[in-house]
Amino acid sequence: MDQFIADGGIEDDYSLLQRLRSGDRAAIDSVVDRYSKPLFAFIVRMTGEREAAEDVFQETWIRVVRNIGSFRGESKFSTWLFQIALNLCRNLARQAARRTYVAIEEAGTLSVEAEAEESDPFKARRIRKLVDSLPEKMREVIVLRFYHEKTDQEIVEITGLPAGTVKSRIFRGIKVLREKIETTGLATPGVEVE
Amino acid sequence: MDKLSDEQLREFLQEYEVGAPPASLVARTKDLMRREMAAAEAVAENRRLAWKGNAGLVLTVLVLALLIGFNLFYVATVGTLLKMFLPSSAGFFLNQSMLGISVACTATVMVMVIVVFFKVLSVRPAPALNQAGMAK
Repeated sequence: MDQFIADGGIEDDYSLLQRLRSGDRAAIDSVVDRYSKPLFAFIVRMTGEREAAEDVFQETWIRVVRNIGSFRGESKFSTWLFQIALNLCRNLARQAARRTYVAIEEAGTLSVEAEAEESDPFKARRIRKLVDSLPEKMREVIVLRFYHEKTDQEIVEITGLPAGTVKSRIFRGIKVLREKIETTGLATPGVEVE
Repeated sequence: MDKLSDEQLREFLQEYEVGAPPASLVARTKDLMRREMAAAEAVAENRRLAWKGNAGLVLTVLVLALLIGFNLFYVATVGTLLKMFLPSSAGFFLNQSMLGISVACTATVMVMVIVVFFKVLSVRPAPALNQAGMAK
């Protein structure tokens, strides 16, 4: 693909990234403001831990500045951004001797601003627990597909997995989610999961 | 219960929403990015200056390598072929030409070494000047 593809309009992102490449400090504000929310949400869903998510968020942006010269624009900027973030999340998970799951009661400390806006925060916490309970490899594709509206091709680019593997993981992930939701009755109003 | 469709599943999962990162985190990140950008620019500038300073030396080495390569090529191929085909009476001139080109190459190499020594390796910083522009 020769033409540069950008999320928010070809000219907009293209010129923004060109400014970033040329060392324009003001471009940092624009690019971070544009992508920080989806990026942070992705990292939080992948790490499940606020402090770790903040560290990964910062490191992702620093790597963007460090490697902006090597970004050739063959994919969307957001794809490249998520790719960096996912690699950092994977490194973090690899480094952790044992993944720490935050108890439901403590989950309120995670992304409190967002959860406070929800109509049913208790249900949201349970869904969060459900998503967190997915195996990491399955969670990657499910989060990208259902929360970030990524296409199969974009997921392939972000995860670096073959297309067949992505499809099968999505398929299995959906199956696992459905089973868990149906066995716990989480989708039924008024019914609480253990 | 009926199986959830993909769309229902999507809607259901959307209830777990994550908001924007804290403003302090974003501000801190932007600051770190600016510092990183400044550091990267400094490194690039240093690299550019270092290259500028060494460009003459690199060019000299390249020319030397070409000359030596040409000399060896001449001796090994052209010289050998000529020796095979030229009459023996021309052997004297052939030997002289090989000697000549070797001497020319050696002389060039020596001149270049001298030039490099005086122009690049023996450069000293200029003496500091006082306000009147005189060396202290």
